[in-house]
Amino acid sequence: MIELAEVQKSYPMGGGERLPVLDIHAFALPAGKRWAIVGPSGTGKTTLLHLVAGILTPTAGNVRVAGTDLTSLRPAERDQFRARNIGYVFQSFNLLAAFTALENVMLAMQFSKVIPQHQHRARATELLQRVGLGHRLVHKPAQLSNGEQQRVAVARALANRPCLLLMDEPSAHLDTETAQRVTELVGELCAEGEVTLLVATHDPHLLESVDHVVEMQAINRVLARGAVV
Amino acid sequence: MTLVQIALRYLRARWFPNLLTAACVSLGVGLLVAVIVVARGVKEGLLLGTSPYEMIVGAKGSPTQVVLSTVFFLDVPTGNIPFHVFRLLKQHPRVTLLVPVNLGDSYKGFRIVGTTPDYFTPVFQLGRREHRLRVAQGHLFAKDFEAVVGATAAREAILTVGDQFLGIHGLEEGIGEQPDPAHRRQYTVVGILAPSSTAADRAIFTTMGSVWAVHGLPTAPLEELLTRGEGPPITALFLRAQSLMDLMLLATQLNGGPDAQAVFPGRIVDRLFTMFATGETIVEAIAFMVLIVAAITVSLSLFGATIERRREMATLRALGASPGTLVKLLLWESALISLLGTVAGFGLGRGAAYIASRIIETSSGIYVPVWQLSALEPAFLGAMALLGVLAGLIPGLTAYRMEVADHLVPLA
Repeated sequence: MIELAEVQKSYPMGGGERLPVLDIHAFALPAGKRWAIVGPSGTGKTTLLHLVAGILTPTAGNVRVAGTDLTSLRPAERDQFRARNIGYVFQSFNLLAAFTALENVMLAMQFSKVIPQHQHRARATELLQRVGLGHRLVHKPAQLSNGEQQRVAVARALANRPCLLLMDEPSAHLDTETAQRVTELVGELCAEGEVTLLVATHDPHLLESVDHVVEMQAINRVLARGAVV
Repeated sequence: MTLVQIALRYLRARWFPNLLTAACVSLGVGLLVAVIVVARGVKEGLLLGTSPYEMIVGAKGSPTQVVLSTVFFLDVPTGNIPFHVFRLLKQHPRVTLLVPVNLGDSYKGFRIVGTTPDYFTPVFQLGRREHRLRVAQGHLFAKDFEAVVGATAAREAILTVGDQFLGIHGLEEGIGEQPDPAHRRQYTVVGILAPSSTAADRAIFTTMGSVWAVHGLPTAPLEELLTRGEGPPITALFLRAQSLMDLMLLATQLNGGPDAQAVFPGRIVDRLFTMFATGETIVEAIAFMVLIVAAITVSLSLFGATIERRREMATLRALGASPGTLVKLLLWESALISLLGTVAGFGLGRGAAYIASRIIETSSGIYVPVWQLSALEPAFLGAMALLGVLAGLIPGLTAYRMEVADHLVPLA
């Protein structure tokens, strides 16, 4: 499902210097399982997820998702690939403030064009009902609690029936109980849709719900060199 | 959801700044529309007012003054022409229409015009539009001191058929001066004209003899005076001839003599347009600059909104919207703000033009049509739409070049 080969990511610092963030020799995750990637803050978890999602491109190396080399795609093609194949739940949810919960989910389908237009509303309603927000369809993000926003984000991420779901620190803004409920729900939904899950976290409670755990320190050679990320 | 619906939703979310931006656009558009419409209206009003007459014969002096005083009842006449000029032209075989006009007194600021029933026969015409002078109530004057009142004059001076009124000398009597008793003659209203959108709306018409009598001149029926070969002076004559050549010959003959001058009203209107053209160009240039400022305001407002919404834009990208889609979204937002401003501006401009036309009509008697769509306006609407879309380019390019990942970092 996910293959990274000789992937490096660094950011320009000015004066021609670059700050290395990620250096992965080889990293591969097979499909159909729930994976967690763990490590303290600043170890490159979000950068890794962005690379896998095609939001970032590596400075060097190749990123393949579901057999497609993301580094060979043009930006618009990468956007389409992401929309069609990858669901992403951001740490800060990133719901669109001007739109209702229903519209936030529908918008994901709007850009991917995987689901026929006439099915968008029904699909979004069904997903929101599935995450327990059937009564909050017309509410805007500001009118929802953190836990509810998180669930809208999950519904949005699954709207296009992706083969891969990425979650970045899903428990960061939630209390333990809510985080646990969301995790269970995601687990169920991933199982139903045969979705591979990769969740970045440093929350030990979350780790119990996944099949495999990958340590950032084990794959990121930048950390091994003792560089501060 | 379509891209337009998404754009509308974002516009609604920031409705107040967007409304202010649209208001800026509407002011620019309104100013330009008002200038275009009023300038064209005044031009058409002058052309319409002079349309029935190919030539005006008046006393020597300023030709512009002759036209403004006799056709539009503005300004004072340049003087009078001897009766024999009228007789000469009346007997001229190539003259097809000859309308004498005597100006002198007034009532409540409305000119009392001595003339013949021929004054009411010509058709005022501009393009396909025709205006005729028609008696709506009563009948035309038949005897001296019978008056037919223009529609606006009747309304504003509160005159109806059967009313009597006293004329005053000139357009207004001097403050503290005693009214000239010779001019305090009583007129009886026998007819009210239907509104005609010409200067006739703001005048009171009577016989030639009434004006002569008020001024103490010996009077008799016009036919008798013509037979006799002599009569009192006349302010002006409106004339049509069989051909342009006839007009030119008559003009040469009249202008060569000491008694009168021939004026071609079309030329005078052209001269007036030329005089006003520079001022009109300057106002148009200012209005265009206001429009460009309005377009920059749209651009700045959207640029600010884009910066403010970087996270949302990045999220849209993460959801699969291509950089081009974001550009299109911002172009839609810009176009919709501009469209709203332009539509409101057209209404505002038309409203302002209507108010201006009323003021001009009230103060000058020149009918200013403002409701007809100008050929410039659709072109202008297109130009504004293009300008509006262009205003969205800079914010669009900002969104296009945005580094998505930079704006998806978790919130603290």
